[in-house]
Amino acid sequence: MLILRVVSTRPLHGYAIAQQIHILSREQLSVEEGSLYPALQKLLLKGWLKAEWTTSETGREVREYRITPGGRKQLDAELAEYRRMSKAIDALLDNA
Amino acid sequence: MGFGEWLRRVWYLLNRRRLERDLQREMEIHRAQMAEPRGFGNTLRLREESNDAWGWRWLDEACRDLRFAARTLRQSPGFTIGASLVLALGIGLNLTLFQIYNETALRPLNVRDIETLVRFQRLSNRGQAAPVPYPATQYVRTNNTVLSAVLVAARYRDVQWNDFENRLAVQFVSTNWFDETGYNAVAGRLFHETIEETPGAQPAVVISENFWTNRLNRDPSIVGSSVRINDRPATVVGVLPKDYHGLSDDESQVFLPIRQMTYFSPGLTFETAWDAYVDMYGRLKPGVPMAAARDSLRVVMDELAQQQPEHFKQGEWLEPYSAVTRFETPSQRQERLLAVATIAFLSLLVLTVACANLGNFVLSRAIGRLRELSIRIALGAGRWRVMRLLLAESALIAGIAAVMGLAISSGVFRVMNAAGLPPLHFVINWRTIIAAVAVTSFAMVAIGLLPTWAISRRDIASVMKDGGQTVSSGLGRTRLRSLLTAVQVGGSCIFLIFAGLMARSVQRMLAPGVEFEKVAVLEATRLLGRNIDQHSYWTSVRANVASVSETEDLALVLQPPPLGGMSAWPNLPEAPHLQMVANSVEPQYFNVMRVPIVAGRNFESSDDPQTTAIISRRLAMEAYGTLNVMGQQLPRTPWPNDKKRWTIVGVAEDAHAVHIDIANAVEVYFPLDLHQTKRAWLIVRARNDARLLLGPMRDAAAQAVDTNLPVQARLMSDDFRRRLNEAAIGSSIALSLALATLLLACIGVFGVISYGASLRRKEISIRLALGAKNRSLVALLMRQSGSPAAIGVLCGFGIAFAASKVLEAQRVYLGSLDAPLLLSVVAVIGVTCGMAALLPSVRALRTDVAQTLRDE
Repeated sequence: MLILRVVSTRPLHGYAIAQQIHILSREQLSVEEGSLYPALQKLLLKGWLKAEWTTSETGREVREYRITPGGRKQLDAELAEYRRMSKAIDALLDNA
Repeated sequence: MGFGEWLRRVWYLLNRRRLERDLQREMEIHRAQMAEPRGFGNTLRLREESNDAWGWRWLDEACRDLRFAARTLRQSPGFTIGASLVLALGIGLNLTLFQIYNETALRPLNVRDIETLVRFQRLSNRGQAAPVPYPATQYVRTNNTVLSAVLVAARYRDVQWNDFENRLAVQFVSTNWFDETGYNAVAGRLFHETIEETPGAQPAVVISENFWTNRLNRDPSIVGSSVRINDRPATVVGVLPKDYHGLSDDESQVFLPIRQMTYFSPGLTFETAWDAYVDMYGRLKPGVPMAAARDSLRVVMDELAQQQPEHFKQGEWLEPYSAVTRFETPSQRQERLLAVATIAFLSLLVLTVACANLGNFVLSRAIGRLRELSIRIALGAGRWRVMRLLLAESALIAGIAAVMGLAISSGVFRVMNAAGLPPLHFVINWRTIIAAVAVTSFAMVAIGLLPTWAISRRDIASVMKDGGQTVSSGLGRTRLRSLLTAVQVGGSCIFLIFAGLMARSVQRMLAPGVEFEKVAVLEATRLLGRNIDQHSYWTSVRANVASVSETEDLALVLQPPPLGGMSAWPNLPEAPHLQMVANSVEPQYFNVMRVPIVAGRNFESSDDPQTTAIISRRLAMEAYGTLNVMGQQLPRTPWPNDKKRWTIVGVAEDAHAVHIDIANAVEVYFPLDLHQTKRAWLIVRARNDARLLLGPMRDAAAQAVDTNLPVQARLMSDDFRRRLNEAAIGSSIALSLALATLLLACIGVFGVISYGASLRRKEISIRLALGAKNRSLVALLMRQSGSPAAIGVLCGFGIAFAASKVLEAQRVYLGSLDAPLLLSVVAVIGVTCGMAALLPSVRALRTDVAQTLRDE
């Protein structure tokens, strides 16, 4: 879900995805490379991401991942599920 | 997994190398951008884990295992070639038999609109009635409302083509035959109603592609050429395509219009003769189901019964059988399924024995790899991983054997076609592929899975502790090994029993109770449908033949040996296991065939054919317990309410002359009445040489009637030999398979004892050092295979006994299982397997005791 979220705004390569997750979570979350690339391959298999080689702003050739319409749908579904669970847990913690 | 995901997986597989290179490059770029590149981790491991997400790891491992297995097998070429050959023979045999079944029973008839084509069988409440006469088919054709066409065919075996030495089998067919079956000529044209039905149409002939190729050298000018058939001019109008198979098992190669039968056989009143029978087919009108057609045609048959009461009875009907099921009747289907089940069982048994034999060798090879397997387990391999490794070899051998088996099957078909057997084609279609996969999988499971499972169940890790001795010893004595040995011995036992039964049947056929060597036979069934008085004809022929000096005696019969008699009622309640076979004969028959009358008397001219009978000795003894049965009454039909009886006047010696293929056939004879019967044969005993009678017999027949009437005279010994060939071939095949499986069983036993002895070398050496006698040690080693072999023999007996009971009543040349045969089989297996066990046991005693104890 996190990968889909950061890629949903603009295409990113692997290093940039890891950086964005770390930065946008206020440095609370880190994605290890050992988890990132297998997850990216699974997302490619599911058809939620597409990958292609481009040239970055620094002139370096990079492989960027772009979210697909199916990926956006999946992201929305997971976000909705996450929010529902989060509300439920909050309610439990507040009222227990 | 959705379809899109599946497609993406396949796309990944096809572009794998490129995508793996991309991932590697991507990871290197990522790593280069990191402040601490070492924090990235092991890129190789990461790449493998990433690639695993696509789900093709199992394929990688399988390819790796197969490559490893191939390398291992290459190091043992003898085992690889031998194992592949043994398995290939088993697989090839199964595939060949399946292909034959596929071609003859499963392959749909190649005809137009197969769903609406039916064949008719004339039935009555008492079962099958006589076949359908030609005039009846035409009456049905013009007086029905459910058929759009009626097709008719009649076979004739004895037609002269130009001056060919051998006569041909031809088929007379209705002029709509080829139109309705949907065939077009490859040269010229085929019969058409609009041409051949026209008054004054020229005599036309259609030939098969096989005939055109093999007998006429594909003469390009054949269409339109003039030929002489039975010395009558005719024109070849066309050639059938190669894929023409007709509607039955008929192998006719020449086709003539049935309306022109009178032209080719002068004197024949075929079109108006109510005793000239044909095969009748029909094309159902659209939307008419078979049941409705049957009911509608009942009315037509009732009309025929009123118009022709001497040829038809009330209540008869035409039962339709669909072309979709190859016109099979329920009883034919039952026979076919039983035959198929028997053959399938035997062929799978060959494969099972071969697999059991190989399984023992695979087990031994796996035991030899225990140390390697224990190291793999120590490095983290699971049980399934170990099993896959061991299975890879079996899979490879099975795969090689499957390809060889297909080649063997294809080769067998080539040989069969070259030998002139009915043209069958080896075709690779989805059924063949499924059969090959099924048989190969069975082989793979049998030779690979069971031994692999036995190995993997053990604590292989403990191998590293004691070098594998404990585990090896245990595996050397597994129940699995015993089971495999029992299967091999049991399988060879079954084959030996079947071979013995078939050999006995052939022996019985070789010694029939009739002397046929000096007998000649004159066939004149062509009289059917002709306007000739049978009585006058035969009286004239008899007189002419009797005047020949070489003639010792002669007699007319309804059916000459060994062509078979008419099956009488299914059984007598007093002897239900006996199959009675009837024949109508003149009194001289018993002298001609040298069948003595052992009780009572022979037929006399005053005997009533409707009420008098002579039975065979076996029937008298088993049904009545005595030869003194004169005056006893035999029921004429199986229906209890039918009071008609035959009175027994005599008992003849058992002849085994008719239906020589049925084990429990007994003869019943009736006096022949030429006024009542429509056909007869003349059998003549020569004083010295039956060949001297053939010419005079033909001349006598020619002098009796029209010289254009073709007759056939031949030696009865030729007919016997033709019948025996079939049984002899079957017996030879059974014996070959029995010997092959027995050899495999002996090799298996030899292997088991040898291997067991090698595992117990230390124990044997200690026993020898302590003074054990050689005899007791040999017995100790041989006991290893004794119990499994005994179990195999008992199971084999049980299965063979049950199968022989089921098949006894069928025409598969089997008799009953009895003590002498069983004892013979036990003796053969005991001696051969005993020798196979003894040799390695004795060899094991030659061990150098001191050296062994030092080494161990």
